[in-house]
Amino acid sequence: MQDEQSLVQRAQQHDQEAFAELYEEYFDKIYRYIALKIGNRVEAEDMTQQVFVKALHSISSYKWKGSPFSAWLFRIAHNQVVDYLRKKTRQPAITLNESFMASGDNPHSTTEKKMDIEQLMIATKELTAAQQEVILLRFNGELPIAQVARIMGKSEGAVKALQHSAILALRKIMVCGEA
Amino acid sequence: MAEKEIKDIFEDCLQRLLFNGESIENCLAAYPQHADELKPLLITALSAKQTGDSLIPRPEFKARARNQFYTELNDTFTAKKRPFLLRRFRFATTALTAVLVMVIASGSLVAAASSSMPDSPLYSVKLAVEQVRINLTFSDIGKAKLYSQFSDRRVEEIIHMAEAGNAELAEAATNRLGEQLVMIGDLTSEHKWESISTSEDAQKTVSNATEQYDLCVTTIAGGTVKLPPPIVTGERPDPITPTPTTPIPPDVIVGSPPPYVSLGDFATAEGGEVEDVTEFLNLMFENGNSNSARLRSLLDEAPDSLKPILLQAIALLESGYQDVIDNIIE
Repeated sequence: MQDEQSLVQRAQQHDQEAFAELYEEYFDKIYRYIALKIGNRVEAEDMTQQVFVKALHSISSYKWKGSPFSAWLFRIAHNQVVDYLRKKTRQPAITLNESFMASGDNPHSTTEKKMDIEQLMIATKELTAAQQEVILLRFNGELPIAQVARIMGKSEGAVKALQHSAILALRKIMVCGEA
Repeated sequence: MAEKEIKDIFEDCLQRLLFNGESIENCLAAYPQHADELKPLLITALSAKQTGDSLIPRPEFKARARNQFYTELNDTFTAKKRPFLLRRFRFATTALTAVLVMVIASGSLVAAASSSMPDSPLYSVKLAVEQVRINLTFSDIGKAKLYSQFSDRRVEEIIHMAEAGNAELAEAATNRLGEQLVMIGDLTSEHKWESISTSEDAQKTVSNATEQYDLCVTTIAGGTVKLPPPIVTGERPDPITPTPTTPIPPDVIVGSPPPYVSLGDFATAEGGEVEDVTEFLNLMFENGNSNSARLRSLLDEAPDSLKPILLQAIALLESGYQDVIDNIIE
């Protein structure tokens, strides 16, 4: 991808190709971030689409000022998730099994994949909110520590410590079944 | 102090392991005094990353989402750029955009991008230009034809990446191929194929093609899949790439061409309206057959790591084009 800052500037001047590059770069990452947070594939698809439509309509309001585009985009995704979870508390929960099995994938491979994702989801839910956010942004969003720190409003040292403690806790949960 | 040290070391190892492609052993070798502590954590981290990465959007969703989003992108940016007095003349501005795109398309950047492969920095430009061209094509069948042409490109990319031994990018191109075939299927299923029942040529085409398909059955990945008959592949002009980067040599001929296929009819019709059902049907057969044959020819010599990807691409092509043909003849 070209220099992200110049891409964003071109997108702000209504350059379709520039925005398209940003879309292609971040689509899967935003999808994974949302899907792992809410545990529902179909809802995650809709919400991912909404994140990019919101970004499209508000790109002119984004100002670089040292805060990267990814931070801004993941912030939109985070807000979508918060809104969703707030509304969700009033509705019956959909289990992870139902939401991921409804994908129409090959049944055999879906079962194998689902089990892994399910384990990861369950284990991740045992982490603190901050640990979860670090894991999702760093591992699935593939953001560098500095960007994760900006998104979370923490120092890089604090994010590194959270990352270390999150993996320690995940290890404990996966091996011993407890945090 | 010790805690700070380990978190920094851990981050360094994660960066190397997850994002720089190094092995766990390499990472541990750099910090032998912490190896016992780091090893289980790095294994957990790698497992968590790989599991998370396996969660990808469904190809059919991704294709539809991309199509909808690029339409929205085009509408939004075009509307914002359009002077007030021209806002009511959508056709005029769209035509202007089309001209601009053609001008841009003649530029060296886009020309270079059009032949780029997934491992090239210009590849995302190629995808973006393709999407703009889709957005500027108004008929469903014109769009389907463009998607089919872009599917040819995806096959080129799969072959290129397979020959380079890059399974990851070959798989990504295969996923894109699947998305584009889904779009062709959607577009053709929504279209009203009124002339199919009255066109003698079309009926003959369907009859011949069905016979050919029934003769070619093979087994892929444990299941029976209908394979299209082998045909002669040939060069077709690409509006963005005047000279194909990987011309297909004559020795790619893997069988006798079925008599109903006429490549010459398609050489000049690119992305525009296709009114004749016979022509469109032939195009779908030709594209499905030739691409499938090209991928099959790689199978024997491909390394084991790439075979599942090639098989998946072949299965996608054949089921995708079979669906399209079913949409037309039903």
